[in-house]
Amino acid sequence: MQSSTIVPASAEQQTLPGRRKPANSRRRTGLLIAISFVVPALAVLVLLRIWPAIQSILLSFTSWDGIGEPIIVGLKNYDNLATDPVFLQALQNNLLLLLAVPVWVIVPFFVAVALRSRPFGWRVFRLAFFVPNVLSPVIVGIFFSVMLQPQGAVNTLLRSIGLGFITQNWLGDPALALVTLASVVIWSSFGVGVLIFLAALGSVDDDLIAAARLDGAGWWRIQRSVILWEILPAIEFWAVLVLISTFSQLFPLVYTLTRGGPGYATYILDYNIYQEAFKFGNFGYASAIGVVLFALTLVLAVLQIWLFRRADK
Amino acid sequence: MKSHAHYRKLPRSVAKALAAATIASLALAGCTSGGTPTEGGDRTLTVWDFQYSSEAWGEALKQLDQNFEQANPGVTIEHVGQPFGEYDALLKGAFTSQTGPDVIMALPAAEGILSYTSSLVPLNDRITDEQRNTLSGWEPVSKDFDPTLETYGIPFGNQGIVFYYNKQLFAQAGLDPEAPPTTYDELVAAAVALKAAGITPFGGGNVEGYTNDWWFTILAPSIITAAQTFELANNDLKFTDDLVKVVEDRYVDLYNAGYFGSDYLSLPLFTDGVASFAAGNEAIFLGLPSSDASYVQFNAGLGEENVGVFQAPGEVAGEKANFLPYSAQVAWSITEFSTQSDLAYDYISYLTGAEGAQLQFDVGGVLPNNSQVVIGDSVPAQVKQILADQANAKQLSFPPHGLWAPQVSADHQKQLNLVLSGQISVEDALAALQATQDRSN
Amino acid sequence: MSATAAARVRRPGWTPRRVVGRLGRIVVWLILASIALSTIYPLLFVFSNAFKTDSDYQANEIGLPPNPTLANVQNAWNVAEIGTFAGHSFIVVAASVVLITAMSVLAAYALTHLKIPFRNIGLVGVLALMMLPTSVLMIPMLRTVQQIGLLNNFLGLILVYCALQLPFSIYLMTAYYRRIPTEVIEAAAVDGASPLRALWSVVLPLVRPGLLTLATLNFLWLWNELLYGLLLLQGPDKRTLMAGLALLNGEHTAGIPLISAGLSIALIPPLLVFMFFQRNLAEGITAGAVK
Repeated sequence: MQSSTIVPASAEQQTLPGRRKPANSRRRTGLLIAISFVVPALAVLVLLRIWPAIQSILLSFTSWDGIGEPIIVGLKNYDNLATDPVFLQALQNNLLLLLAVPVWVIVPFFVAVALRSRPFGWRVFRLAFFVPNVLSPVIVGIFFSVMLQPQGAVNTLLRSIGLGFITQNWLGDPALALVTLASVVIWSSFGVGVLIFLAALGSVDDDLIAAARLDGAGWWRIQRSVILWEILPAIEFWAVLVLISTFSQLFPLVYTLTRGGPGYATYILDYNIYQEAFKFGNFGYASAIGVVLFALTLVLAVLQIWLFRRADK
Repeated sequence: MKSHAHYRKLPRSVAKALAAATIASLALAGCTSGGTPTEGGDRTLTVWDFQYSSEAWGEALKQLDQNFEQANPGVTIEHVGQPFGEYDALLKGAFTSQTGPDVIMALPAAEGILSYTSSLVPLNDRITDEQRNTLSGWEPVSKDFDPTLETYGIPFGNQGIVFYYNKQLFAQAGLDPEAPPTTYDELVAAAVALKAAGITPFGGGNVEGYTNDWWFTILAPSIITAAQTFELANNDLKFTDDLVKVVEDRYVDLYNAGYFGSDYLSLPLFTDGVASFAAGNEAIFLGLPSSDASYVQFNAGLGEENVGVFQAPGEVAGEKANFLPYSAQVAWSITEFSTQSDLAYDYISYLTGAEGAQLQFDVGGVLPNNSQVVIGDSVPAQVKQILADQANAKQLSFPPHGLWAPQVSADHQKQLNLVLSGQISVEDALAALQATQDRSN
Repeated sequence: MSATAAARVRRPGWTPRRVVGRLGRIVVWLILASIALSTIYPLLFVFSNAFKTDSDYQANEIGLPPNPTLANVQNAWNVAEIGTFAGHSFIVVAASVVLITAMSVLAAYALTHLKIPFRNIGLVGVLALMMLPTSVLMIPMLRTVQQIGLLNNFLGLILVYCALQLPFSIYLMTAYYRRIPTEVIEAAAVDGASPLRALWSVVLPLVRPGLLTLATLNFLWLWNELLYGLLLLQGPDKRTLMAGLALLNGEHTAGIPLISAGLSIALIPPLLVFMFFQRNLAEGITAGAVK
């Protein structure tokens, strides 16, 4: 399990001269140096993420058209949110998308498992699965809006292999659009997950698996009892990424693929924010939605990590 | 497995290259700062335009810019084309940061200029009598549609909603190609005949939802008056009112009767819907008199003699519609943070003046709102007819859907799509729409 | 040889179990192959449509161009000034990637292996920052950039890109750093090597593949970014490639072939980067995966 990438301690040590400074000042300079490591990133983040975030929170208590002075309105925006059918629909859509998270985690896992047994051309597959990450959301949006037309390529293909009865109006049917969106999202990002899981699987100790087999465990049992636990950190890493993406990374795709439609079927909170801020000129209101979105993501992410940590025990 | 070389330092060459790249980029970045140079008498006017990438329009404007620069030595026009889809965001960004263009092109009325008037310079003091008299369309660029109040831009162009039809397909269905429908009932009759002949009556693409708005605008003039369209926008007349429901029902009925193409709800209007009609796939297309869903594309595809035009239908045979939906296409405005408003005003006066409008009509095909423009004989028949129809109309009024607040317009597009796809009824859609209108106040 | 393999040798021939196993493998392979086809086909789609005329495209959306034409590509290159815009994008993205990599390498190292105060808050904070929805922050960020005088300046966009990608980058680097056993760090520190030296000579080579993975991912993401590039670089003298393509995609103008031509040109740098680094990508997550 120990890879060959660990530096033997001896190599570098002998070459470094050792004039030691008094312990205290060394510790202080050590601290200073350590802090200086963080300062550049911190500066950028404070200036361009944290400060704007604080501004947004403050703006959520105002009514502002982006141009004049913001007018303080207290909790009015949040009040209105509670009765805004568009916001509520967007909220519902985001919550429904949570159902895609397990799929988003499982699919790369199984693909990685399949690739582990090195089927013919597995390296090509590994490459191919990553291609969607190279494509810009514009390409993905255009591509799928053409392919998923009722008379488009996907349906035509299904018909030609005799599966004509499954053809649907993938993008135009409000009941189906969200599922289609989730599928496209998973399609465009599972390649990264595959790589992560491949790596994690690769580091699982073969002895453990051999031992389990000798105990008579079948394939599925091995997966469940041995492998899953071994790669739990990788699963957690990917699952957290996926969860966060569900709430804050879907905007480009919705923008290019469905524009929130049909009707409001794929209207997500991030898109709601954009419309309210840039199309309707309600920055204060949009900021309020942003606060809600952030809070929601935070709560769910914490919940998810807590669950994983518990499982790890 | 990799050898020991794997954990030596980064190859020197790579490190050097990276360092060089960073330094170079940062240097470049630092050197090229924004802002317009103001040495001596040289002045630069920055103009934002969302039609610039359109070939004909861009062509005409380039010439006009050159002419203006020659007539005003020392002046450079920096004409920037911006993408239409993100134009709102860009404008908001510019207004918020108080940096950006001197002159902007804006859509008229609530969907455009009237929603950011606090960032624009009121032009009342500068507008000359000649401009007031020769240009039409001052209402949608003025506060409350009242030109005696603040006017925020100079209107330009002549835009509206109009029907195009394929004369050949009409003949094929046994309809008189020179006698298009004039009432809603005649429109339905034509659709029936076309469908019976195996031709798709109505073209277009509605995935974006725009045509929901356009159909409202084209069917409204037979039921409601121009004054009532303003009442609707001001929330004095409600969307749940019977009058409005009749208009929407008529549109929905046409769809439910199967007179639209099967992919109407999933096809984009620009450019797939346009291209489809231009290829002769449908008989009737609801389009624009100017620019990108107009005679320009259709004449190219179907041939000028084959493309017919007819206006918003009236209610009763022989009686014209209450009004025809035509008004200014865009407006040119001056931003409030511009330091060159005088020069900017000269520029936009030039663009909208006799010479500018003439050139844009000749080269760009933009129907004029300037009475001084000479309409030659060689213009396409459709242009002549549209202008004649406008002259003969009872009244010209701003297309009703353009009067709505942006959220109402966006909601209308979505609600109607839900109705068309059978999810909700017209009543429910109108009730939801009215709620949105109430909330946006 | 494992137990099952040994068992197999003892029982040659087409036993039912073996047939099912074979079939299963074939089915799995077919599934993998179809997925791979679906992920590669968009490339074909974009590249082949770039060489079709509008009517060719209307006739057949998914096939190859019957009479390939260079008109769209030329149009996209000249009218949309794609060459220039690509240059702008390259400057911005390359500088951003370098800066992000440097900053996140340092910051993540401090957060995982150095003893700075508020370490845990820092790690949690990084995660929290990843959750901030970007569209709501656009206007305040825009104002801040303008207030520090970097609007319409490449540096402004570069800093914004750094701010956008730093949380994820730090998160990813901490995952890599955690895999390095503390003995290695301590071994280097014992001798009095400064943290920087330890990082540069000892740790970085260990995570180098991970570094390259991070850089690649950031490059791909930033190259394809549209909205911030559009808002922060307002004029054509600095416009990014994606913003330029948005012009082509203007509601009232182009058809799919022209847009595809532009997109194809825009695809080449990411594809090149991907090809160049794909080996590292695959192994980047493998090597250094002590666990």
